[in-house]
Amino acid sequence: MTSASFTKSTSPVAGNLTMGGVLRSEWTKFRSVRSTWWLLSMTVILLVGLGVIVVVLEVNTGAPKQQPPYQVAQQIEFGALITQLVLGVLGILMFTGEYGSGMIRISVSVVPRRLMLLWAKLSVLCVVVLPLTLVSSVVAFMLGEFAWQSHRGLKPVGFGDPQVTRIVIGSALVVAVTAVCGFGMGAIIRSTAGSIGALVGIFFVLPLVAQAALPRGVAGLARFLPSNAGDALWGGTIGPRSMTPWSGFALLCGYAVALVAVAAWRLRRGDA
Amino acid sequence: MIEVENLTKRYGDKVAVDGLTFSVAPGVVTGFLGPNGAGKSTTLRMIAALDVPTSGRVRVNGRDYRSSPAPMAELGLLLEAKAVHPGRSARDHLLAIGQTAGIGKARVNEVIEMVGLGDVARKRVGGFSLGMGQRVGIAVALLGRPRTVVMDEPVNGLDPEGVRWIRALLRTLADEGCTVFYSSHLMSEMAQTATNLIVIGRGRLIACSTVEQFIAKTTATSVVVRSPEAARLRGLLGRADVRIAPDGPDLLRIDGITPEEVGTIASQAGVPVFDLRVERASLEEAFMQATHDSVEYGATGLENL
Ligand SMILES: Nc1ncnc2c1ncn2[C@@H]1O[C@H](COP(=O)(O)OP(=O)(O)OP(=O)(O)O)[C@@H](O)[C@H]1O
Ligand SMILES: [Mg+2]
Repeated sequence: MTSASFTKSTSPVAGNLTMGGVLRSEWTKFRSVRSTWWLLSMTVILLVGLGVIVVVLEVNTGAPKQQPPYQVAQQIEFGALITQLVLGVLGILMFTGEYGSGMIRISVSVVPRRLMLLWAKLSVLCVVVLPLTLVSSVVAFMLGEFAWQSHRGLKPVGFGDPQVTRIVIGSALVVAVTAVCGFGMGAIIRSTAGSIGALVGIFFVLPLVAQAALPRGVAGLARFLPSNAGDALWGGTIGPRSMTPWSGFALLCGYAVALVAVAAWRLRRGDA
Repeated sequence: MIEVENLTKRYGDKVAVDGLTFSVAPGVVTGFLGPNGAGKSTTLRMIAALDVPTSGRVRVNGRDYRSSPAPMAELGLLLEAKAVHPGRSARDHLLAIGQTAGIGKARVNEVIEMVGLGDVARKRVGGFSLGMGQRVGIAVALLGRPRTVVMDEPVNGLDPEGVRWIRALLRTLADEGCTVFYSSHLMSEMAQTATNLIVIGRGRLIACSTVEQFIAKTTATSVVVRSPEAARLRGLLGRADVRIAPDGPDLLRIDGITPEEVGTIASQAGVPVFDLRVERASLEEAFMQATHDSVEYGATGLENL
């Protein structure tokens, strides 16, 4: 440590704050903690692995029946359910990781136009998560279909079937949008534990509670819960109790947008 | 240059900062003092636009910090130590912060060497000691070569070598023309580093002056004389505005008179003088004197220990 070295420095003074710079900064933050890579690996393993295991078990035990293609696709993409939680946590950590360590104060002090921080984080999350879930989902389907097809007597499911396409793409979209919901919750609640509690409560517990406790007349309201709305796109059986696939997905996106909007409002006007 | 005008911050019922007005000039080191809970950290957070003032305003280098095109060139900030994700390396931490302003690896490495973390820059910060974490924070503050540096208790946790280093650092920055504003509870350290002082208590301004003026204004400066004829000298000095306290058989402590006067009177009367010196209070004594009314979280005596 020499006190002379800072006087002799020839480094330039810091440049302007730019969106490109903030994006690079957020990417560095994102890639430089292990939890990111754990959660992304788990995403691939669960999304690809779980469905394939289900299909392999199905075709190898007992006498598998020919099923309608959409049901097979739903089985293959079964891992998406639990992956919602994994990527929801990844989304949560984007902000709570900084609040937990106190780093948020540094981040906001170098990016005093705070919304730039929010948009950059959200961009990094989406740019990583969306392609990853889409690719995993398609790979899962290809492997699952291979397992299904290789068994004697079972017809291929076929990606061309519009319902199958919707389920394969839709499960990936729902998982990605859930990550954005987690992102919003984390930015609003600011604590990791609290946000995970909220995510599990809203996405996993509330639908069960609603199913068990809602009186008959209003039981239909349960379909507007975020996880049930998302489920309509890929996992649910279509019926009077469920939303139509794309309106369900639109509602889930609406929840995500609302959460991010509240997060932006809170970040912008309050104390960091 | 930092200008604070009528700054007030309320948290619910609690008024943390209460109508503060002061400015911090470039080119000198300015210390920020106050008892626990006086509102120092809150003020520093408002200067950095982290906390939103309830009323009043702050200008950094003549403008609202939030509208600066190049924030990292304006203000370098150190708040709490170790405000780093524990799983991230010091190098990635600094790189991420620097990238917002186009600062690259070369400057990051330079700053890491400067604060003495060259050997551990690639290690996870979670394993760092308090002092190492503090050095990471100092590196962050220096990264953008800012015109104004604000630090909250930067000396906290540093070893003696680190304390000397940061003293040299702050003074060198000021000599280069930087505005340097930092808080500390270590009075002797502050006395050696700072030229100017802002003192607050319970969120209000108590003093804003140079260290010397602060000590002179708050505490008495005494003349201490040692003489075998102390009793006779005491009689010669008897004046309404002079207070004399015997401080031993041949020692007098005299307030309200200059050493020149004492020396002249003694020599005219032929009183031998063995020692004649001026005793100034320390910054710590002056601080205790100035803030004893505004200590909020004072400990009680040790009688019940
Ligand atoms: N976020 C907050 N919410 C509520 N009260 C707060 C908050 N931050 C500070 N305070 C209160 O404001 C007062 C000033 O606190 P501050 O941390 O600014 O003091 P300080 O001068 O830095 O003290 P110390 O020397 O102990 O660091 C304290 O009474 C504190 O409890
Ligand atoms: Mg403090």
